[in-house]
Amino acid sequence: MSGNKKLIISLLIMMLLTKLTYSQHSYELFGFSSNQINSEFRLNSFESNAGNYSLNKDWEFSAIYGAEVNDGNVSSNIFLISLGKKLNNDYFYARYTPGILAKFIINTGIELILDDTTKAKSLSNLFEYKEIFGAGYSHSFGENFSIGFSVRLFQQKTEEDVLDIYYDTEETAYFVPVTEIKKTDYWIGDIGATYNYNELMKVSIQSVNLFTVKEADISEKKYSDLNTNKEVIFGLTINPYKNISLQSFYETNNSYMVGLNGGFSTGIGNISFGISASHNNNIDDLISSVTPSINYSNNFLSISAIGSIFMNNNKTSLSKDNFKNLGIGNIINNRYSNDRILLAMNLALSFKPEKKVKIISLKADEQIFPTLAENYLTKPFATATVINLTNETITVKPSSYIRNLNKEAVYSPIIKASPRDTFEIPFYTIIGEEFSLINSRTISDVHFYLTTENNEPDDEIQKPILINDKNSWDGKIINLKHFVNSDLNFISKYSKQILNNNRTEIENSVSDLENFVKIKILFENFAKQMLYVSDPRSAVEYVQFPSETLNIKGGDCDDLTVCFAAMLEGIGIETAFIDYKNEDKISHVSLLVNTKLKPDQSSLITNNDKKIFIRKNNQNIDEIWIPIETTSFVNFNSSWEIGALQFYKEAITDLGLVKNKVEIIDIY
Amino acid sequence: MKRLILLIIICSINISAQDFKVDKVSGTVKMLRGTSENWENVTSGKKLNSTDLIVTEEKSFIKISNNTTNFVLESNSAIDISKVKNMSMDDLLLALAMEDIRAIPQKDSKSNVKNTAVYGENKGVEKSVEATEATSVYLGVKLLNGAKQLAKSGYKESALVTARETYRKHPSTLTNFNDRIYFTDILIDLRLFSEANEELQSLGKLELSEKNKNQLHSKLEKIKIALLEK
Repeated sequence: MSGNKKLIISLLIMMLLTKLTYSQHSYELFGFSSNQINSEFRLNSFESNAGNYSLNKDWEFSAIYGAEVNDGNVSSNIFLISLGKKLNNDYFYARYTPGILAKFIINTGIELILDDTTKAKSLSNLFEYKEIFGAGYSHSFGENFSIGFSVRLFQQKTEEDVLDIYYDTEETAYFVPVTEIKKTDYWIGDIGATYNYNELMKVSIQSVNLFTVKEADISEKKYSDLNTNKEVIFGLTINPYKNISLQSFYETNNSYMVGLNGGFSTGIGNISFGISASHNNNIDDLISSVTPSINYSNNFLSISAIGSIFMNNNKTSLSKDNFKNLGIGNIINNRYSNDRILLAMNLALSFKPEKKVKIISLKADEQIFPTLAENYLTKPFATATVINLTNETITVKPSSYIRNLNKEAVYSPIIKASPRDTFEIPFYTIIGEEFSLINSRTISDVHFYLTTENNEPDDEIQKPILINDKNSWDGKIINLKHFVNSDLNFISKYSKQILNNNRTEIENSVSDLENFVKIKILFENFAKQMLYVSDPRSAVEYVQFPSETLNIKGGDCDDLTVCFAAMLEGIGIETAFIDYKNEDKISHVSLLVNTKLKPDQSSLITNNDKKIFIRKNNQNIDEIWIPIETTSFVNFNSSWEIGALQFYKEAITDLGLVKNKVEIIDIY
Repeated sequence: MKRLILLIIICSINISAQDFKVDKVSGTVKMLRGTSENWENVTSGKKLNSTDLIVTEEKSFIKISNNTTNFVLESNSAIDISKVKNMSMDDLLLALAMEDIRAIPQKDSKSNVKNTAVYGENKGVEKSVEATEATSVYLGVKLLNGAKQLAKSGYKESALVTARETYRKHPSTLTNFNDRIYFTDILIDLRLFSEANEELQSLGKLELSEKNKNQLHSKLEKIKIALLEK
C-alpha cells in the first residue's frame, strides 16, 4: 500500500468514528463536493440522488469528461452530458451517459485448432453493460421538502462463443464456433425525498431498483444479468460550521459511504474540496474506494476535478465462476473498476441573479376606489412583510402595477434593510387621470415587485383586486371630500353664475356678511331645485359627482352635502362635513360652513347663539361656523335651524365631539 | 331612510327635552326655544325644554323645577336649561377638552385656490360691528350671571362649562377680571389646578390694575404650590 493510500485510509477511519456512513451502491459522479457556497449548481447525480433534488435555479448544462487507467493504459471519453431546468417549484433533468459503460471479456479456456489453418481460436464471452440515458423530475413543497423520481435505461449485451456440432451424411461430427449475441434493455426507476430539517441538517431517503422492467424474452435470470436487488438508501448531511459539510449514506445491503467537504470564497469565486470513502458489501475490503474532489465555482460556472481510487487489495480475478457467484451491481463502481479521473463542468445557461429579498406575506386592499386616488398617494393600499435573505444591508425598490388602472409600474419609497431583517414595505399607487373616470366595476389584478440591484425583480406576487367605478365610495365620510373636489372647476362656474345673478343682494349687504349672504343665496337656489332620493342599497356605497347631482336634481344626504359643499368650496367658502356616527352604522352627514364672522358679530345673523359654532382658524382667530342640513329644502333658515339643533344637541350638549360620536371633517 | 332617521332624531329631541316647568315668574322673563330666532314671554306653568334659553330683565326672576331640582334665576341673568343639571367630573373634563378640537387643522400647500371675487363695496361695517358687539356683551354678561347662580346652587361643573362657552361666543366679556377670577376659584375648588393656572396665565395678558395684578400673583403662587404638591 502506498503512503498516500495509508493517509487517505487514516482520514476515513477518523470519519467512520463519527458514526456517519455513506452508501456505496450509488457512486457520486461529482465527488460529493456540494456545499453551501456552490449549492446553486447541481453537483450530484442520480447515483446518489434518485429523488432528483437540486438547488439549481434555472437552465443548467453540465458535461463530464473522464479518463480511466487500466494496467498503465489510459483511455478517455465523454462521460456525461446533461441539461437541467427549474420551473417554479418543478425541476427537470436529463442526461446522456456514454461513459457509464463496463465491458468484460472472459476467456472460456477452450481453444480450437481450425482445420484449414494451424492457428488456434480461443473461445471467449463478452459482457457489456451501459446506461443509455436518464431523466428525472422533482417537485419542491416549500423550501424544505422535495420529492421526485428518476428513470434510467440500461443496456446489457452478451456475446458468448459456443460450439455447434454438425453431422454429415457419414455421421462425422464437426465442431463449429458460433457467437451468440443477446441484448437486454433495462428500465430502472427510483424515487426519493429530501427534507431540510434546518440550516444544519438535511436528511434523504431513496430507493434502489424500485421498478425494473426488462425488455427481453428472457424470463429466467442468468448469471450475467445486472444485479437489480431492491434496496433503500438513507442519507444524512450535516453542516456543523459555515461551508463545512459532512455527508453520509447507508444502504440496506450494509454498504455505506462517508464524505467530508469544505470551502472558502475568494475574490474571483469559491473553492471547495471534498473526499469520500465507500464500503461495498460485495467487496471484502473495508474501504473499497476513495473519491477526492476539488471544485471551483462562481455565479456562472462550476468546474470540478474528481478522482476515483479503487483499493482492490483483494482484487477479484475476472473469471466466469466469479461472475456467476458475485455478479455486478453497479456499472461504474464494482470489484473490477479501474482508477478514474473525471473533469466536470457545469454552466448556468440563463443566469438568474441571487434572490436577495423575499415576500413572506402581503396584505392588500380588496378593492380600489378610483375617485379616492389622492388617498393612495399617501396611504398604502398594500403592505408586504419582507425578509432580507442576505448577510448585508440592501436597498429594496418596491413597485406595483394594477392592470387597467396604472399606465406603468408605480414605485413606492425605497427601503434599506439590515442583514437577515424582516420588515414591512408599504405600496402606494398613482391612478392616472385617464383611469379615474371608470364607469363600471371590473375585476383586475395587481402585481407587486421587489427589486434590489438588478433590473429583474428579486421577488414578485400577484393578487386579484376589484376596481370600482368612479361613483363608488368606501363609506368613510372623510373620503367624501374627493367627490367634492372631483369637478370643482365646473361647479365653481356654476356658483359664480348664480351669485352674479344675485349681485344686487350681495352689494347691498354689510361687507362682513358677504360670505353669509353668498351661502344663503346659493342654498336657496340649491334647495328649490333638489329632491331627496334614497340611495339604492348595493354592495358598495354610491356617491354622485356634484355635476351629476345638479343634472339629476336630487340625491341622498351624501350626494346633497357633497354637492352643496362643492358649490361653496368652488367660490372659496370653507366647509366641513359633520359626521354623525350611529351605532347601527347608518350615519348621517351634514355641513358646517364658515361665515368668516367674528364671535362678537353673531347678532348680525342670529339672536340665538345655539345656531353658531366657534372655531379657531389657522391664525388662531375665532370665526363663526354654521351647521346646515342639506336634505331640508324649505328654505335656508329652516335648514340652518335643523342643522344647528342636531349639532347643538349631539355635538355640544351630549359632548359628541369629544366622545367621538360626532366628527368634524374639514374639506380642502 | 336617512331623512327618516333625522326626523326621528329631531322629534325625539322635542319629546324628551321637556325637563322643567315654570313655577313662578316675576317681572319680564323671555325665552328662545331651541334654535328659534323669536323671543317668547315666559309665564307660570310653561314647560321648558333642555334646548331653551331663558333671560331675565332688570328686577325680574324666574323659579323653575322638575322632579329633582328647584332653580331660581335672578335678575339680569340668562341660562341654558340644559345646564341646570349635575355634571360628572369626567364630563366636565371632556367639555373643557372640547376646546382642542375647535381649531381647524393646519392646511397643506395643496389647498384649493380660493375664489377672491368681491361683489359690491364695504359700507356701514363699523357701525354694525359696534352694535352687534353691544348686543353680544349684553347677552354675555347675563349668561355669566346665570353661570354664577348655577355655581351657587351647587352646579359648579355646569357653571364652568357655561362660562367657557360664554367667553368663546361673547369674547367681549373676557375683560371682566372679577368674573374670571370667580370661575378660576371654582376650578381651584375642584382641584383642576392646571386648568386654573392656564386661565390665570391668560388673565395676566390683560391690562390690569395693581390691585388685580397682586391678586393674580397671589393666586398663581398658590397654584404653583398646589401643582408641586400634586
